[in-house]
Amino acid sequence: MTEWLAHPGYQLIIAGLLAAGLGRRLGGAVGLVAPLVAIASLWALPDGHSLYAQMAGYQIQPLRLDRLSFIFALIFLIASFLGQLFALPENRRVLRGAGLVYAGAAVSATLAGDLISLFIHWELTALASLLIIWDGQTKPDAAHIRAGLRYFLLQILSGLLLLIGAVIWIRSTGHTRFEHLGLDAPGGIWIFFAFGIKCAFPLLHNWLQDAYPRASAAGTVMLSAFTTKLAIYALARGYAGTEILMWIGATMTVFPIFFAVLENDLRKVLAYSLNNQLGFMVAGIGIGTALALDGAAAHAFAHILYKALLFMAMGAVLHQVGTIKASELGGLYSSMPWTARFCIIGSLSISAFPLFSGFVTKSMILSAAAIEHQFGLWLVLLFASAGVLDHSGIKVPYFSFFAHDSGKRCAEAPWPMLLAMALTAALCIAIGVYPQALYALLPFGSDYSPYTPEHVVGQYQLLFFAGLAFVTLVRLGWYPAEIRGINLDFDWFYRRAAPWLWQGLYAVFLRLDAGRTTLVQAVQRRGQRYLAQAFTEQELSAVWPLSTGAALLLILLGVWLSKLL
Amino acid sequence: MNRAARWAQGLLVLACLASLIAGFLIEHHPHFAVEAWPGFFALFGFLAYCGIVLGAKRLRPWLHRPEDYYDGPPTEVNAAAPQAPQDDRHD
Repeated sequence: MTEWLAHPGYQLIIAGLLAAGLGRRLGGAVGLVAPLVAIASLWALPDGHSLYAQMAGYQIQPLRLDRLSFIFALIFLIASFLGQLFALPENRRVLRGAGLVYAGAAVSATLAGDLISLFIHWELTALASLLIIWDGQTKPDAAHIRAGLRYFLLQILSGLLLLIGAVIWIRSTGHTRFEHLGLDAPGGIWIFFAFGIKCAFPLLHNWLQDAYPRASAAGTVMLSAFTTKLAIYALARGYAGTEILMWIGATMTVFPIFFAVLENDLRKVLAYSLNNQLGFMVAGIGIGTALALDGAAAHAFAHILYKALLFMAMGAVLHQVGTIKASELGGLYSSMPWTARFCIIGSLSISAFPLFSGFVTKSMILSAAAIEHQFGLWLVLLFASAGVLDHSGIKVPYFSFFAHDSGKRCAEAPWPMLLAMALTAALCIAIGVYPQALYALLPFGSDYSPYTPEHVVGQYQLLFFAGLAFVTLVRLGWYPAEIRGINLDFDWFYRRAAPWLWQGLYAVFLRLDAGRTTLVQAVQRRGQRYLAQAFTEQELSAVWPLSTGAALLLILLGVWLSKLL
Repeated sequence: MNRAARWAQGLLVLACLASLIAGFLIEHHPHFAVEAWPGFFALFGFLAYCGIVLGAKRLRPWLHRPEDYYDGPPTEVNAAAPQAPQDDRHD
């Protein structure tokens, strides 16, 4: 029994249930201490440590510690701590409790050694994250509830696909272990799409941009860390080297940047940017070499931190100003100088400036593409890197803290938020300055040095000249203005087109149904008359042969039956 | 334009020049021929950025909708006669 209490994921889940029932001080303290305890437990577990159990006649393995699961579990726990710290000023019980359970479920899913435990924790992340989204409004209105349900539906669909795939896999292999699957494995294609939904593959991505910006300031910080990176972990374990992932990843890096340029809600900009960053990791998994897979894991690690930092900065703005629309912000630097500085550190990290975390991890994936001579992929990733500079590097800090002065004045963010941002920013810089510490944790043992003159100069050229393009476009007045409104994305097809289509079909059906009723009534009346003639006025079979009467009877029976339907 | 912005722009131009010059000085170990061109990343960065921003700008007329676009009239199919009022089409 005691060895189960050393499971870092279960520690968080228990702490979450506890914290949900506690008040501000005690609950907050539990929220902060639990991730630290879990980090200590994770660190203390020996590599290769396992826990087994029996479920429905199968052996399951709720704890399997190897280097791949370790690095993801570790960054999830760090993100959980930072998220809880950031959440202190909001003081929401649901956020504390569901946040810890969510993080615990994500950690447990990365530590799960079999498909059944993976499925259980996969679904638990969906449930806990739904609570975080709904908690974005104190009294959620109908639109908010619906958005949460849309999100949940997609997550549950992912779980369902995983379950189907897992059943096929277990039936044909006779064991439940979660290891490399590939698309040709029994059930492999089902599980691939299950992971793909959670990873926000193109056309399966809208739940992310739809739901994440609806959570509270700290809620979005928590959401940004776990679900999608859990999917990255699962893809890295199950589908490393699956070639199509290169092109799925490449698509993911490119199309969200156009939406991010146009989007007005700055947290939604970050959600599109999150989608774009996932693309780099997915492409790395598709390349499948040790360097590429290590790059994907390292990029996930760095990305969780700088993305959390950016969401924290925008969350702090939302918390202090009450809006996060670019069209209503600007000139906040004098009110929130520290938030602005931390935001800029996040921007420099995600844009992959040398000495910041994004540079030392993203260049691993680009180098891996180059070493494999994937010229097309390399060019696409390079193109997307210039896009990252626009939406996350420039747009987010520029339109909130600088640009034209909106006239809004507010106090600086409360200290727990600032502290959370400071710690996250420090980690972003630490990884950039001393990447060896992160590289030492990487699972596939690649050897890489990011700071070659070639890399650094090439990256500086790319970023500085892209920045020059920004200045040029702004001065020419060609940069698209920030205006209120939303932008249609693929979710239009199921939020608008599908209901319209359904209504149209339903109207046609109603018409057809009315027509059928008329027809049935006519046939019935006629039939009654014929029958009356056939059976009463004349001797049987004199006017109507018997067979006609029987046929009429049968038709009547059919008509009567069809009325019953 | 205020002084800080002028300074920032000056610095950016200097940084561009410095990185471009550095491109001529360093040794290249290219995987692809283009990597060996001293100013390739500069040109690519500039053009890609312009392409993204101007491309997105051209998409805007097609994609942009008012904020209440999805919160407009109900689309419930069980409403007996779904006579949607036509105020949801501001485009």
